[in-house]
Amino acid sequence: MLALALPRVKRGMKAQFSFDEDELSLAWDAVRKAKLPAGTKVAAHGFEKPVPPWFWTGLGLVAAGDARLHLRFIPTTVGPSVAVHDAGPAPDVEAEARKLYEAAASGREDAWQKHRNARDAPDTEADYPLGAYILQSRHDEVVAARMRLPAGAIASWTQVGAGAAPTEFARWQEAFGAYWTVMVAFPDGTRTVGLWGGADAPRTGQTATPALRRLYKTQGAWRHGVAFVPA
Amino acid sequence: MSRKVALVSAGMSRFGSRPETPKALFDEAWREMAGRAPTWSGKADEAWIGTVGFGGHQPGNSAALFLQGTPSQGAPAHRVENACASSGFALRNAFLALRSGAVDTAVVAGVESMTPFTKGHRGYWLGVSGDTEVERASGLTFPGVYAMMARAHMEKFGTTRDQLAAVAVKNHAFGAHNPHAQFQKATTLEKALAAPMVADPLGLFDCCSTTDGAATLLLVGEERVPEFTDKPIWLTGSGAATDTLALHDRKDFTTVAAATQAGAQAFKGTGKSVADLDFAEVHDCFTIAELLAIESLGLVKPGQGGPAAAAGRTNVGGDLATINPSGGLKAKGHPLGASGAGQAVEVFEQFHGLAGGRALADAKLALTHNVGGSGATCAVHLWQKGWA
Repeated sequence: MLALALPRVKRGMKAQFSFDEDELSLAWDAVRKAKLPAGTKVAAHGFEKPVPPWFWTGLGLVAAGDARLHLRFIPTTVGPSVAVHDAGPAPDVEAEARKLYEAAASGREDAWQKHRNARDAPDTEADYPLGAYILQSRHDEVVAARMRLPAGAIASWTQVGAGAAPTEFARWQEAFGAYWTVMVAFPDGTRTVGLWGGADAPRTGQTATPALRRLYKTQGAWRHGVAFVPA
Repeated sequence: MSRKVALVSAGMSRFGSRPETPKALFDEAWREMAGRAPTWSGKADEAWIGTVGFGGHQPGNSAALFLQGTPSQGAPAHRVENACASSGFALRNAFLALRSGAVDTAVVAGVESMTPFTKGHRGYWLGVSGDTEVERASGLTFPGVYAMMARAHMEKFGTTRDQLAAVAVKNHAFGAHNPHAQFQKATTLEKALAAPMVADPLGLFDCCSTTDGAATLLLVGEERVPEFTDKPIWLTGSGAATDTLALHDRKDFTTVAAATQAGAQAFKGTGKSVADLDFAEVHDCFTIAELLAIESLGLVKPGQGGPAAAAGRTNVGGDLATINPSGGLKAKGHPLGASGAGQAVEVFEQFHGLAGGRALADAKLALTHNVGGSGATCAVHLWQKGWA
């Protein structure tokens, strides 16, 4: 078993994290590629910070140190990667990483600078404490539940300009400019909304699938959430 | 006990960017209301004050602060918070208390101060009345939520941006004659359509301006009316309803079910219908919201709001009730907690011949429609001119 995920855009000789990506969003991509059934035991290795409990809950996986499958952060010559692989030492993923690198879209330098600025900008008075209107514990529950959403069809969408963004999305707008948000309808008749992670404008009726993304940072802490991407 | 309830005075501050404290804005509205009720001692039995409490000022127990220094200081007072429908629900609370006989005189007010703050402060507070677990975490505040309603309405019914812009043009034309309005200047269809996009498909002229202001109302039980006026405005109907907080949880997001429910409740037992209305002040926080309001209240069928607006049916001389002769939230500005009470001030000024260049001839029956969020709360009231 080897399922590998790399950042989706390359800059020069490496694939690099966009504003909304990090180790955890790559871990989501790798696990989804691996198509692991619910209840699978997985051991995490190499991550800078512990993989949070909501990640396992959301994916229906069981974190277990002695698991026969590993979820591992692996630096490569073409950028950071996360792999799902069979137990044992870190596999050689260079060849697979290079394939992903070649297929990745090229980022513009000015766009990278925007992402870097947005990522590293110091806190301002707009950075309210996490939990000011939704507790971290509740946010985690909501994200975990949304990670189990199926694919759906876009029922409506909008593009949000600077004047209409919540404060905590100011950095997101600095990185991406006006962003899209979609309403997605599921086969059972329920709906939800989420950020649109597609490169092109969404279309009503288009199929959308959930994707874990980094949403925003406030007072030094990042929050993740479930966005939607084209199927 | 079930007695008639009358509006005997009303006043408001000018809406718009105001550096004063909410208390100062409240006092400004109070002075106009008191001046229009010269025989009133200034003492009310009870007060209901709608405010979201945007932060930056006294955040808790503010109802007491608002009455402080008025002759009503010491009366029981309540802060009512239902987002943008705060003072619509404050009005409903007062109506129920008056009708039951629990109180004889009541002050209803709405207050908000929003512009003296930084962009960061405003950005934080805007949207906390929407669903904070999912909508907000999806980068949405109300322009984005209403934009989704607008797009769905466009795709379902063929509503166009021109039709949305027609609402803005009409309301700004009315606002040009309203000295209380933030924007007292007419605009054109071309200018409205050319404005920058805020949340696609809603441009700048499709959105109201959140702002500062206060409005106050004096209501009394019918037997007390002669002490105040021989020209009472009867509050003949009150309806209110709620819906899911998040738009995506609703069965249909091209209509506002809470408005339909509240509207039906307000008309119940009155012998009147929307066809009898001379005018209505509806909650046009966005142009699409006015179309949704007239459809949800039953003035037109679903999907016919856009064509009705574009054809001038909701303007002076149209075959429907004139909509938002005050200029609506669009031109008047939208100090969240004050907007519902502000709508009733327009009713008072229209019926009492105080509406100047926006006066409607021979108006006798009016409706006010105040929405919180994207339709999670809605209060509707029906007003009958009590003299010939």
